[in-house]
Amino acid sequence: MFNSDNSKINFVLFSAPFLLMYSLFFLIPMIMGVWYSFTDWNGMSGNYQIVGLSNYIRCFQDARFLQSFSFTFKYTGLYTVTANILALILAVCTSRNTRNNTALRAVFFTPNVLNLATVGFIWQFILGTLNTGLYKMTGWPVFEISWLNNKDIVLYTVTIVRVWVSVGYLMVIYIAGIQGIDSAVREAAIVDGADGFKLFSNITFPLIMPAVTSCIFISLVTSLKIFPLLLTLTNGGPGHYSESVSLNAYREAFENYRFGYASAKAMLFTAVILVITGIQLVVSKRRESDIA
Amino acid sequence: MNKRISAGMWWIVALVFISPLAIIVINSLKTFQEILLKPVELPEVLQWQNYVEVYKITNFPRVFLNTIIIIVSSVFGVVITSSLIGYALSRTKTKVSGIIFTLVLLSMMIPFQTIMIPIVRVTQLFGMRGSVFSLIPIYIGMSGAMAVLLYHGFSNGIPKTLEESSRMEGCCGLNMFFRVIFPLFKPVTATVAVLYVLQFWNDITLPMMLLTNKENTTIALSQLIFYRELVSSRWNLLLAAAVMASTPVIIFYILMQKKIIAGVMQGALKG
Repeated sequence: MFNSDNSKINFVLFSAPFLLMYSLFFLIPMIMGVWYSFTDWNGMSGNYQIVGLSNYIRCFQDARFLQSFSFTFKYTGLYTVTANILALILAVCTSRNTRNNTALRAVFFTPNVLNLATVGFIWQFILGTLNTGLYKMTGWPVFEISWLNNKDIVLYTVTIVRVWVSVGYLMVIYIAGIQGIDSAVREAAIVDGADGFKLFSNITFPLIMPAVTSCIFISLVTSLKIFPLLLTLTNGGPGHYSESVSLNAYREAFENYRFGYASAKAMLFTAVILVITGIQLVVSKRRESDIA
Repeated sequence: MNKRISAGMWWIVALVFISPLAIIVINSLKTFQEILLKPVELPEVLQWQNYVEVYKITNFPRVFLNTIIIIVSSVFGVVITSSLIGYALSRTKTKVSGIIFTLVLLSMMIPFQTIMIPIVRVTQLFGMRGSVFSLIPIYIGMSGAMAVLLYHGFSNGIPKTLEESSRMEGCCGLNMFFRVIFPLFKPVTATVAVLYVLQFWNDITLPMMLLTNKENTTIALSQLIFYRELVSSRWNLLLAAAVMASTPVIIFYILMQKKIIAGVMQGALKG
């Protein structure tokens, strides 16, 4: 159909609906965003001036914005490592298709289907109100920890909650990877005397590199962009200590109404995401081909 | 024996893992005083009126209907547009199709903040801001990437002889696609549908930007509005609202569980 005489017409016909919607509501807005980042538009008034690179220069002098990058990076690193290690452990332990394992997987996946804003205030309740109540009742020091109001702890709080949400998702991808391994390879290794950790590190892990690549990619992208969870869990607090770059740019736009400046922040952020994920993909593709 | 112990241990881990949800359900049935004074005890009397009150305040039926309209139309749009282009891309290997493919992938990485301001502007230009319908074309336009990948991957496995033989019978173009190819897509379409239902049900960023009228929101957004207005007070109502908003999606998950988990596996390893 696409190699006959009217192949071009058909290609256009098939692609047009998607490309039309994609252009109108993604591509053109993105280009508009680049344009706004060079202006001082406040979102309300019709007229604005072109201010060149000054929005971008201002980004680098904005201590709160730089702090939001520092939080986002620390969180991304901590989350990516913790979530993937835990997900791998869960996957290895529940990878065989028994009825028991299927049920366990379903339980670990459940938080993924919840709305992140709801998850945020559920955990705000547990770590705030409930935690205080438990401390009053028991007096145990465990419940004295101020999960949401201590600036040294809040990073870990956010990580724990986000890991709770998505560890099941990553687990499922790792299970798919493990189940894709040719069982003959595993059996041969077992016959040769490999077991437990040796089996995992020498056979299973190298053979699931594609799943590792996917999971790390997904973890990086979602954690760099962290946003809705923070709205209800910490709202960026205490102070601005748990404000992510996304939250910072959002507030710049819809609380301070500096659309031009907020666009510049978003552009810088996009560049950072593309660089980080680009490096990750190149590195892990290389590693995959080394093994193969 | 050893196996039983380890299975038992895993079930303890699983129960602890899921216990926050039980805590929420239990506390949503208490009075506000009970929550503050006896957070770990069971409710003395089940306070169903928490739910009645939330139902009234959040205008639940209206908000629920809005959400359903948005989800059904957006998923329909995503399925049609991305199956067409996914199929076309798998059958054409030209420079143009390569560029299109890269553009599609790009939209998966770009943070929403990049387009949020222009999107508000675009919907104002079309006179759509504030209407629940405004979300539908935007969802179709900005979130189709994963569906395109899934359809593209599946199309690669459909033999080309099929379209050739149907061309012999005089069936071609869109007509051929919807009669011959689209029915074959059924398993991917099911995957795409369940994954996007979850995504659209839970999305909060786009509604937050566009649905400025408090009466006219989605379930996910009404949660946030409710939370902001009742902040740090009246946890009984907040928790009841959380349970009410999550129940439909939990039921959907229980019914579609196998499909959802299989969909995540396919989506990640093909993409």
